[in-house]
Amino acid sequence: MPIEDHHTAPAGPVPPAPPHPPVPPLLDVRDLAIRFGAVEAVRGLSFSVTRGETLALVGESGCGKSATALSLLRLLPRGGEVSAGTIRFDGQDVHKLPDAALRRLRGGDISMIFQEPMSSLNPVLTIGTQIVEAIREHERLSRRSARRKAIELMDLVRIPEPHRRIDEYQHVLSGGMRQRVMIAIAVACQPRLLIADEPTTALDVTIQAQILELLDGLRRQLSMSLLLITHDLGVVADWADRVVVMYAGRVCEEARTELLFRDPRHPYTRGLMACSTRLGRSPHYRDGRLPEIAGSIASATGVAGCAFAARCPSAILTCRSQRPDARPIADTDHVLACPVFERATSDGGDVAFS
Amino acid sequence: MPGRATTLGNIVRNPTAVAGAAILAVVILSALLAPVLFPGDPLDIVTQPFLPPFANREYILGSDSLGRDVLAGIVHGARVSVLVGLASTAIGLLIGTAIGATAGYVGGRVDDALVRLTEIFQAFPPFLLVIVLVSIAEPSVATITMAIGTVSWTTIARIVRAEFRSMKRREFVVAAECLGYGNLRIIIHEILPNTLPPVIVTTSVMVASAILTESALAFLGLGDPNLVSWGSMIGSGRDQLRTAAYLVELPGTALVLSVLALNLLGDGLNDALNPRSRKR
Repeated sequence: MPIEDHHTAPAGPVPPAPPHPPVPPLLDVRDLAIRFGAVEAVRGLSFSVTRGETLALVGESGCGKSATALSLLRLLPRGGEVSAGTIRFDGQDVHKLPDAALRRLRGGDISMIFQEPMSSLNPVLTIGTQIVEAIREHERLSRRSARRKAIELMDLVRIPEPHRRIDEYQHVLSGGMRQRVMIAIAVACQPRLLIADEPTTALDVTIQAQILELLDGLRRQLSMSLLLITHDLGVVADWADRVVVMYAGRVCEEARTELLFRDPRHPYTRGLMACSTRLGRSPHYRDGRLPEIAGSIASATGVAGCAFAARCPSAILTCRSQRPDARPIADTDHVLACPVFERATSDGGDVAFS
Repeated sequence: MPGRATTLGNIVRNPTAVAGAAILAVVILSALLAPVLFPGDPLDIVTQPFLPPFANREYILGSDSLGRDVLAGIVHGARVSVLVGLASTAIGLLIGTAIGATAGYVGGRVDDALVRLTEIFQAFPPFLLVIVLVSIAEPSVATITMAIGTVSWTTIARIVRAEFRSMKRREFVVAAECLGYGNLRIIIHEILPNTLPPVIVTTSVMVASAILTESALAFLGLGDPNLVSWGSMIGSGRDQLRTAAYLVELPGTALVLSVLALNLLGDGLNDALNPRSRKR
């Protein structure tokens, strides 16, 4: 693998808009729990997205990121259900919406793009048809003006020669182009929140930066909020305003990006940073072994204490018996679910971060 | 290049499909042009009985035991075959697609119930069921068509259900749900076009078997008594099988060629529409 150094891309993390406490967040998730049968994929998950910000949801595969994203639009697959908690979008409870209002919400207020641009487009319809459909679902437009708008959208997501591309099928487009089409469809009705579920995982590194830059640009241009779901700390460092780190369906740590990278507290967050090849560390094998987090992610079902305790180098006896709650450190906006590191300042020992 | 043109190109380049389509075109053309080519009722007695083929300029394929024109009968018989074949397949397609799509998309108990229903229909020998249905109703082209349609939807239902099940959690369908599209729209506009290749291939075989079923009914004397059909011609010619075999052979050949043409077309379409066989 080549060294991935897209974090030298021009735009750095954007400072969050100055907080206005009276304005409620656009999306507010409280104590969310998602079950698949007896398995609890997500439990006690709380986070919120304010207007215009980019929130990153970080965690390894299987920690419940995608299930969380799907539950926001009530799209969990059969067998999965939200068993507790509330999801409020702009003040209304998503899981209590009637069907018609839910359909207006989907695509109209909240849009989503997926990891796999290869399979997210309908193979038998031209991309123009698919963009036009999306526009006409939420806007009363004639076919001709919808088509004109589709070409504008394709231009907006920087697809070259939109006039020619609009009548093509998805299989002739590259992965990056398909993801651009997906983004065009997602922003067609100017949603207020765009959920991007690992939008760049299936793309090669040079395209990743372009797509993220595009998403960030659109967020400003269309004044959307962005919920960026990823396992890539490099992506987080460059594009997110705030970060929620998840482990086994729970929040470990939440902070502004700059603070999280400067002062990571949770042993899991520190571990992730230590084993990232992107954050200023040389990934060359001659420079020694890349650190790793020992063990593997296990189901948190039936675990009495902290889900990470079994893999945690700093675990103390109570970690295995008492489940730590995520709570703010000393009234700051830095949220942590680890009693061991609540008071300690960063020793920086195991984190090499410039 | 747009995908549609490539598919069409694949069909045109496929000799099997072209041969099938050519024979079928002749059959359909004679069905359409029958009243022009042979005006009047083909059941009318027009000449002496047992005129052998190629003996008379006016009645090229000869005449039957009552002196009816065999060629006129074959050409008019194509009308019944084509009509019953296409119409009953359309009915089967409609029922099968509706049931298969609902079962595959909705899933759960609805799926269970519809699969049981399909299995009940499959448990009956289809031809027996057609005979029962036709004998309950008056034998006419309409009732025969309905009866064949009612027994032939199960294959389509199973295929469509399987396709829908595999497509339902595909990302483009979830993406469509994300955009707030309704269920009916996702079924008809997003998923159904993706299920078409196997359905189209099965359809051509369904038309062939519908034509055969209609002929078999007519052979048994359960066809529409006022219309000439290949089956009824074979049925009435079988008494003279030793003396005038052509009365069975000629409509039989028409039947064999039509069914063969439909199967060839089906194979050709399968090659053209199936991406796995395309690579060979």
